[in-house]
Amino acid sequence: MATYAKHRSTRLLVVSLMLASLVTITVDSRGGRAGPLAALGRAGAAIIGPMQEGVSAVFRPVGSFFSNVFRAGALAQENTALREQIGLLQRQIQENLTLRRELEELRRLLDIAEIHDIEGVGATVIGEDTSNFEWAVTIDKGSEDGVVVDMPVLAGEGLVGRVVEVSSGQSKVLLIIDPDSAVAAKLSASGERGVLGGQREELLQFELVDPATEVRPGELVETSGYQLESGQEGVYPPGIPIGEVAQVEPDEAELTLRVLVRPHVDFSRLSTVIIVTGTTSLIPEATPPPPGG
Amino acid sequence: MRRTLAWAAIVVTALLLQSTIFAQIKLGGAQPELMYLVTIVLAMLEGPASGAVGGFSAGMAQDFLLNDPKGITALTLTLLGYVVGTVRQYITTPSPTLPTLLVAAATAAGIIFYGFVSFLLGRLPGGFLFLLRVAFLSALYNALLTPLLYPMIRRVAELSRTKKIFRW
Repeated sequence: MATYAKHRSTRLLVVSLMLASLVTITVDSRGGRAGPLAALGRAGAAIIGPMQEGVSAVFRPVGSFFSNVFRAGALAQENTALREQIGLLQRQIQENLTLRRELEELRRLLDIAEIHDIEGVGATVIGEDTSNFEWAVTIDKGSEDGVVVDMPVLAGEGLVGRVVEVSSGQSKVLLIIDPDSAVAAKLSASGERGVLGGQREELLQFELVDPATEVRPGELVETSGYQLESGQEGVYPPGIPIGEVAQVEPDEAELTLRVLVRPHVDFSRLSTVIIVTGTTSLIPEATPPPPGG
Repeated sequence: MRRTLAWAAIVVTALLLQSTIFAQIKLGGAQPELMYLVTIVLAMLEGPASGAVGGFSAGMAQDFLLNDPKGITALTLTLLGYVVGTVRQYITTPSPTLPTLLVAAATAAGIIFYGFVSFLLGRLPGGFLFLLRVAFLSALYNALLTPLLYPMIRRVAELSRTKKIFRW
């Protein structure tokens, strides 16, 4: 009898609790977000919020650890995808840098061609001379493009050299740093003339016609150009920048000056050049032709 | 009174853990349901009446403190506490796996019931297949947690039990 009463009271209790729940559900559904129970819920959330923050602060590392453990597969996939994306972006950055460098070179080339009123053919350096005794590069333009021997070659920064061999699709350019190269040059400020000779990787040597000339480091050096009375012209058009005076020192006998010139062009990074096919003006002066120039 | 306070402390602790650390552990779109686990263990240890009252309290606490739809969890856990407490009275096996199996089955049933009530109220997101998946996964996670949490909860409950003093 007592057990029956106990069961009955339990059922009554459960039914009461279920009814209370159902009333809560109904009131909440009807009231919506503006109802009294919603306000009570917000108050409850406000009470438990600080406690949740405290618990979160304590257990966050643990939760993150388990979360990461459970997400290990997804994280590995995400990691792989991100690595691929990084690789792709790095390649794009590299390509952009290359394109930007090429663009800058082309702009400089265009500038130098415009300033000096040069007609030319653009070319790309496709190879360097493998010989230990010659400083030259191979470019991708040849006789099919109108290139002939002795045409000057420029980069955006200044003079590069001259064409010494031509085939149908490519040409060989002797650089001004080659010991066999000699360029008729002048100091741009004073106009003093001389011959610029290559010394391989070292600075160019400038042999002035007048050894008593006063030269200061930092002075700019450019091609002088010349035209003989017989009509013979130098290889290089005048006014093309070559470099700047880096060192000035008396020679061993202290009779003349030893002038060393640092070229503007970085020959180790040469990639785009212009082959001069025609110019408008040469200085009409009768100057003895320097060897090679 | 001590027991009531002990169970209240267990419920609040479970609520805080559920809303913080366990909220971060979601695998397959489901997470452990600590309030279900606590209600089921309470009903197993204390019987159907305490199970129902404990479930109602835990459900209301979850609904109001975590700002869930009000009353649905309370209704679910009230029924769950009562049914588990009643069923437990008829099971006499001493198997140590009983709590785990009971927690798993009751969690799954409770979540499906919760989903059904939500569906009737037009608040069931994701459809029934999603509900079944969540029920299965949450039941699995609760079952995995039971061997760890059941002895702890039982110990707290027993410590708070009034000791009978026999005088001879």
